[in-house]
Amino acid sequence: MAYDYDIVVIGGGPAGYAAAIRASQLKAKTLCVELDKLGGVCLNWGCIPTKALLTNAHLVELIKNHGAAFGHSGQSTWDFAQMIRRSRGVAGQLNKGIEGLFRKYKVAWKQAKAKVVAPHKVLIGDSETVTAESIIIATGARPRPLPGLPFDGKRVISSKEAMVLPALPQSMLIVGAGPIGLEFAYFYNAIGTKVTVVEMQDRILPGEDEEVSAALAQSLTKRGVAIHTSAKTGQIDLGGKLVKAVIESKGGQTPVEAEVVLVAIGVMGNIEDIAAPELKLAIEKGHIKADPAKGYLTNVPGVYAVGDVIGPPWLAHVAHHEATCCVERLLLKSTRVIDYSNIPGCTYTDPGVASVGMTEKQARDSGREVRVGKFPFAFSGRALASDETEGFVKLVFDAKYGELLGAHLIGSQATELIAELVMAKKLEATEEEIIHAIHPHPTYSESVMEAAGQGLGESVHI
Amino acid sequence: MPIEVTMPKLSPTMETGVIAQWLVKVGDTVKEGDPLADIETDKATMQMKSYDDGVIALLDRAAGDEVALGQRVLVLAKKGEDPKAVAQSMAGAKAGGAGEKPAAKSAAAATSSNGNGKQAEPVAVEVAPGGRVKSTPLARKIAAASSVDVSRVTGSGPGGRVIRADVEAYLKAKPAAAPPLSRPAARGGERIPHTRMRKTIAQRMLAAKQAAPEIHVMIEPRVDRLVAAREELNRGLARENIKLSLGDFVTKAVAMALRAHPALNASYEPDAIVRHGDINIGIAVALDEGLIVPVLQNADQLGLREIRVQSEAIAKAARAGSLTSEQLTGGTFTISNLGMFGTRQFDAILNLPEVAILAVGAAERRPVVEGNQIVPGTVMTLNLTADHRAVDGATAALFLRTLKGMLEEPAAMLL
Repeated sequence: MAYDYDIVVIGGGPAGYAAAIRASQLKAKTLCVELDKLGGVCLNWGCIPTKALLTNAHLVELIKNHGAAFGHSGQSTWDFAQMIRRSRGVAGQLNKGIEGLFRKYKVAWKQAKAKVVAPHKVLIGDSETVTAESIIIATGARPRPLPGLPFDGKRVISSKEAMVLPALPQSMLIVGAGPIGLEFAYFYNAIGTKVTVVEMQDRILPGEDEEVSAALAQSLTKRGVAIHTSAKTGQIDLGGKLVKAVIESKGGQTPVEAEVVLVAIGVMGNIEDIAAPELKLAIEKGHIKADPAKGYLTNVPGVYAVGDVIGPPWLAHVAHHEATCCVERLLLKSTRVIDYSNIPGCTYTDPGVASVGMTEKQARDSGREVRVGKFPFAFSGRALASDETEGFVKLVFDAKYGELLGAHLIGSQATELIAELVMAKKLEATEEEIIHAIHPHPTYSESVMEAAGQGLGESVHI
Repeated sequence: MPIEVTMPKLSPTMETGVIAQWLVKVGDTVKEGDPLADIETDKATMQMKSYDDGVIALLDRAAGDEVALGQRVLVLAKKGEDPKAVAQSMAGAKAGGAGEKPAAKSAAAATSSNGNGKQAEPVAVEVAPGGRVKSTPLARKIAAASSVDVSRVTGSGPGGRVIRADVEAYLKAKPAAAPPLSRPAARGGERIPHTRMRKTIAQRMLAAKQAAPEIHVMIEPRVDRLVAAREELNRGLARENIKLSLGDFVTKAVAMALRAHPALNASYEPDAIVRHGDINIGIAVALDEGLIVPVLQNADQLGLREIRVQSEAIAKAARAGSLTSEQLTGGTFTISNLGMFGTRQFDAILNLPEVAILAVGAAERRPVVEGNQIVPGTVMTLNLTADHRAVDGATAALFLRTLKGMLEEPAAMLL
């Protein structure tokens, strides 16, 4: 039986568009169906527009906090609406970029809703049905609401609304101190909003190395963000002009009022109405179950799923690689698989946070003999020259062979510096290669080399 | 890319092969498995086969040439390549000298032929001299630590690179079969800075050797009775959880013998020999980072039980680094015992300013002459080092005679 398409991709985000383009590159007849705009959350409502806003906040902070040292005087005024406009403009530009790539690689795409109605059969919109040899579901995820507090888009908002607020709020309560919550905390605090952050776990960025969490908490607190850890929001009262909440922690109860509540406690897979019930597509913890070892095959023959819709780590760069691995495998191009132990994660606060691999605690808990090398940016001439000396590079090695187990960076350039360490891990470099690879002077990147040598008596600058 | 075919390893021990005769000529089309030449190895004449399809573009060597392993013997033009152009471009790059051109794919594959047409396991990827094995730093370190030649491991990484998992799988598959490295891999040496203890040991041992003209006097007491006495006493002490060692008896015997020979319980000073009133015996204790000599004060007044208990206490404190200054000073004679390591005999260096030190070896079963018969007996070797500035040979010998008597007849200690 001949199918209409070799591959139909449902979803046009980082997983979906990557799958569609890679499939077309490999000469498969491909259709991509996207309900909204190409680029998905990442491009339109996530990674990219928030980075535009955060750069803006950084600029404000640079002038406000460092301006005098650099000889700037006088008042700076900032237009919140223009910040939002610029951010949207950047997203729009990239969204057009994906359309251009689709044209270049001759990927057919439709803006519509799609649903797997039978094996190899997809319903597009209300009436059109197409067949495909393989179907890749890449519908992504969306913000998860607090139980009992649905989003209203006005005063109880998700990250999406937080990047297009009509006016600068005077105060904001942020529930959840993961990367998303903290990036907005940094942004709004920098441009003048009174920000309160509540985190259930005992530290902010609970997935990061403990030292990094502590350093970021200290830095954000110093900048004026109120942080409550091991805490939760009790009853939230939406009755008045301001949202009233009580923060419950071991220390007792703290009442807090805010114009808006941003809920950033995680995401949930977009799995509703994606497949006909009789197909019995397997779902686990709110996400589609897909097997990475079998090219992300689901329990339904011919149906694959990649990206945020299959669960953590909910990162655009992972979605992209899952998609290309999936496509290359089903088009017999390669059998490569993702090494989930070598995935970098970034938080674009200032100082920023970036990490890959095991935290020091995880490494020690694994029973290895661990060696930690650490270099603070305060000792970096380049950082000093920029007046951005916060943070450090912390490298976790297996003492036996000097294997790099993990890297944990906090600092103004952390998110740019992490790639070297991902590559080092990928190529199975040991501490020796990092120490003896000549890093250019003066750069922030030297701190990586210095950290590798620290503790071995090989670091000259500490 | 044209294929450069090199001299394959056709016998496990061959270093070179002689081309007995070519079975192809330039311009011939060959398929995988076709014979290319007869090669005389150190063992026999064998056929060298092609591992690729192509056209013979160039024969580097004539029949009768002796060619080292890994050196190029011919070039094969692949499909779509012009053999004449290939011959022209490759002729200059003739792999004549050792290590000029790294091994090509064919050479690596050739090792899997053992001449009888069967495919050998593809694991043993030998590299030609100078050939590079793609491998990660971590894989190389693990391989070196396990004495595995990384070129024998099949790589599964990008471009056939040997990665950590490959070395680990190789080690798991044949832990014992790892062949010895033909050339030891460079291993990281180690430079251990002197600790204070190391500096002290070095300085004191050198000073003793430089200052004291030493003599060595040895006895070999038969200790069967001592061993029996120990067993008997230990039976009684078992409920106290105390177990006397032979060393404790030696300590006791030395302390008692020193009472009778005060010349050995002394210090040599520039203007006088100082004979000590107390008999304080230093017991050398080995530590990871060196050794230390804590002291049993007034050892001659201690019973065997106290000697055991206190010896244990000071040895424990020495290892824990918690010796008090009192436990470290006042020694008048030192015992160094290596018997527990099975050492038969050794010499000790003086612990100045003490004038003598006793080196104690293991008690072991040896043939002993009893009357006119050789019988088995338990014998120890004790070697006394004495400072001849203070102690003459006869003095040392007399002390040792007393000591020997006590060790051979433990009851004598009671006198």
